[in-house]
Amino acid sequence: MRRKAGSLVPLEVAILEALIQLRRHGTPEAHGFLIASQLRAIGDERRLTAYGTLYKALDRLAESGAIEDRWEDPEIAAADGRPRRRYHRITLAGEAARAAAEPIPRPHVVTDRGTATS
Amino acid sequence: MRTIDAPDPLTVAGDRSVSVIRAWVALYTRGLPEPLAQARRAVINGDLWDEAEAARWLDETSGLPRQRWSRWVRGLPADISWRIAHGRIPNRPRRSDMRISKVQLAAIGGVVILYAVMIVGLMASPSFREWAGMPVATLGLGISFVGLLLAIPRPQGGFIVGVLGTGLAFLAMPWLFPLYLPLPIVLGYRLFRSQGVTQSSATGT
Repeated sequence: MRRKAGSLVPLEVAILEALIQLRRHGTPEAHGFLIASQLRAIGDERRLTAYGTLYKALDRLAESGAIEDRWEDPEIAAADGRPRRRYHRITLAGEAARAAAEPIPRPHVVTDRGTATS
Repeated sequence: MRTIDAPDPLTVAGDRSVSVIRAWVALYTRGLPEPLAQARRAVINGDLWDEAEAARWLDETSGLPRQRWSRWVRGLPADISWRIAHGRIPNRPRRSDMRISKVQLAAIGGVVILYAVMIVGLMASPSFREWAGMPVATLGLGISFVGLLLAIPRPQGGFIVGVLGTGLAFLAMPWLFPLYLPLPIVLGYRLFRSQGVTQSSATGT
């Protein structure tokens, strides 16, 4: 079944909600794994969103203008001895899309290390 | 400071998940524009790293391989659809002999159904179960079936496999010869038409 242009699937709404909650708690942009962890907290689920599912949804959101991406400075990544991250930030259009969608209960926030706080 | 060239800290003893996931990402990004493929590989690699770091931080490394396998398997359909959305599979030449008309497709479909009915009927029939020729007949029909499906992308290969299978089935059940006749006719027609198209496109006509 094809979906309407511009419409959001539940996962995309949840990603926008995750980014809003993270920003509210002092993380204005988040990398993929942090978003996956936050999604798990929001949905009160045991499993993390699958790699393919998550990054496909993030790509779609970026294409629709609901989020913006930027690659981390390679020197920062090299200094930490890890691969570069791609950070995602919600846009005004994304906030509007989130506001127009159904509410998602249970606000939790996940820190960068994966621990959950409410 | 740890460098990216250092031994891979993502590896858990005995776990092959990271290498499998990286190989899979390399496979489905193959042939895409390099910036796009590189970006995809990088985000997955970064995610694997952050996931491992979080597991280490929470002292949950024992469940990490299972979590990775689960995330990988559940994401396979999305990976495939993402790949399809970003371009066709590389190194698969756009050969004119792979074109198939509606008539050819309908003919192959009809014979596929015929063979499927024969295979199912053969295997379900109590009178055939004890028959010595049953394995050869089933094998022949099965190979013919594969040949029919193969003929859609590869007319020549499908013709060879299909005729081989039909020959086997004929050896086992010569009395059902009229039922096998449509297969070489359909596959031969498909091969003939595709070669005609190839030659005309090669000569520019």
